[in-house]
Amino acid sequence: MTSGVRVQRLLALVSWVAANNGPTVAEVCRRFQIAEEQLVEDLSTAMMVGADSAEYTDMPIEVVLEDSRVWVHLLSFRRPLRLTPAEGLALTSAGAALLDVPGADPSGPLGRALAKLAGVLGIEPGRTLDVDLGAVTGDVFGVLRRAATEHHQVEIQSYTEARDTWTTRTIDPWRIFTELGRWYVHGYCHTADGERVFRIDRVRSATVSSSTFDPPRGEPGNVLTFEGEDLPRVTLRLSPAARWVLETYPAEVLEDAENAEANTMPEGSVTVSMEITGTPWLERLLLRLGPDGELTDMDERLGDRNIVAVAARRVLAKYRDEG
Amino acid sequence: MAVSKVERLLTLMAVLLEAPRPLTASEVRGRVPGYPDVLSSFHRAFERDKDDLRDMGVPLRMEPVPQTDPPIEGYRIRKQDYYLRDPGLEPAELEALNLAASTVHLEGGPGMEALWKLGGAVEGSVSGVGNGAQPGVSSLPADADLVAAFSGVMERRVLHFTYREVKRQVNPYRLDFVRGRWYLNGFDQVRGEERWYRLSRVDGPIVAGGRSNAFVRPEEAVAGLQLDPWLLGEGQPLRARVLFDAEQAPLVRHSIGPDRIDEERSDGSIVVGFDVTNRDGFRSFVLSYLEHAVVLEPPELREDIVSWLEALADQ
Repeated sequence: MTSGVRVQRLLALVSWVAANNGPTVAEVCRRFQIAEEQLVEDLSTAMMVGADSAEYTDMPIEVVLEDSRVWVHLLSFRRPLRLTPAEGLALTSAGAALLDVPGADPSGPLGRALAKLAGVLGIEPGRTLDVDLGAVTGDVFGVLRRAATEHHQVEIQSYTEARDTWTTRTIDPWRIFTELGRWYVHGYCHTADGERVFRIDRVRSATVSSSTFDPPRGEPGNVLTFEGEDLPRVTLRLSPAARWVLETYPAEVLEDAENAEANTMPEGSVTVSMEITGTPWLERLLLRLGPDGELTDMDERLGDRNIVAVAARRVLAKYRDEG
Repeated sequence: MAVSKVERLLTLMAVLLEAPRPLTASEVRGRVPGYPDVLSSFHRAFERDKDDLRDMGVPLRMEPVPQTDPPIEGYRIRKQDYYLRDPGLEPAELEALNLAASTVHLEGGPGMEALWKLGGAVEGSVSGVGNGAQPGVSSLPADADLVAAFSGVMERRVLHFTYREVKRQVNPYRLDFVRGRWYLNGFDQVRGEERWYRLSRVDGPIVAGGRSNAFVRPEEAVAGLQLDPWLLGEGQPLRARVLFDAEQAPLVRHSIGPDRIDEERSDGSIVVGFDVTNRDGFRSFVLSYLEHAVVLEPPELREDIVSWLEALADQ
């Protein structure tokens, strides 16, 4: 811990003790996450402030330690140091994020705390900063969260976008987390017999079972990378209007207007190579891109080269049926 | 006994906080014990201490000392800048903030300092910090530019940055985290427009201007960022009805909420209403459901998708 952080803790601590009429040493240690020995040392340091200075007749910080209780009288440092923008941001965004979780009560203690904090920071609650962790509705999310907290197995029905299929699985939900604006459940899948991550907005039902599990120890790894899998690749030529693909999905730029041979590509277009997790996923991308994306090369494992036309006809057939 | 660094910093802060006027470096040297005797070493140590104070967020000011000619720069900390106003948190509210801070981390963000200032950790709520097995822990991306942007919003400082190769001077109003990214809303003084900026697209650093309270926030709240692709346009919206088949209906229900469902059919499919202001965005959204979604009306949006698909089917 740096001297700066120690000073901040000490100043926050003495102003809290001064306002709380002789709390026990144990309570102070718990609140400020400090060992008793360290607390005594820091308080002795605080008492020294001004001792060598001719300027002071009264000491800025007076401390009395007696019977495992502590009293502080302050002439200086009566309030803690104001919150820095970084601290204000950390608390405000954490609070806003939690209020976004299904089931949160905006008028509950957290909502009230954020409103009071906003007042101190000089911002307007709910109008200055918002955190949207991703769309999920209450039921499934609540069941999964409870199961993760209580270490109960769950049976889920989940959708696999890459293959456009639904499967029923039994999982041990180790933890729930968000990443890039989506909620996920990470755990052990007994059906697949391995560690898996599922998008919660792709789970249509979750049922808690009576079986429990032992959660794994230690920090989870970065579970959202799927390195080592040999996924089929495609090469796509994207027009400038399709550059969003580069910002949305992992894609390797093979060629752009700058390194292309003279005048073979219009300004702003790119040729990219992408890993594809399944044929339906590629169909989706190509239908959305339309004339802005051209499939120039494709791994044959993904099927037929006229994949776009086949998919378009399939969707058109639905339009003839409906309407 | 040698004076510890902690004691020296505390004394320095107390002296500057209680001084009735700015103090010169040599006055600081006379009043704060623990500095080296050699003058050049004192200056180096004093510089380091000033850096430490600034890192802590202590509002250290430099001002000319009154009645000095030529003027000598002095140092002070104004109480009104230094002290945190008491937000008056109830125990349950402090506990809720503790829980939030231990559940959602800002990457590279400060540690416990903020909570200490508000009254410390509350029992039972922070024991799980850093415990990866705790369900529901998430982190938000953050960097120095985000902090600079927030300081602009919080202290009403003008932000200077380059966006899409244009230098901007922006009165920042609001920050939103949507779909995994931070966006800033503000008024660009140079171009005279209010708009959203995606922070990851800002070139180079975001610099907050030196003057706080430099602008007035708009009276009417800035609405949150709208990223639904079918709503990214201006003008009169078209009301569309889209049929989702039974297989995809649960996912749609998830992502849009139950309120927008117009019709539940006996085969499990649902019809959902959309107000469309951006046809390209709407088409792209609907096609991402492949054959599981069909636009029922209005005819012009339906025809839009059909002709798009026909062009692709003929390839």
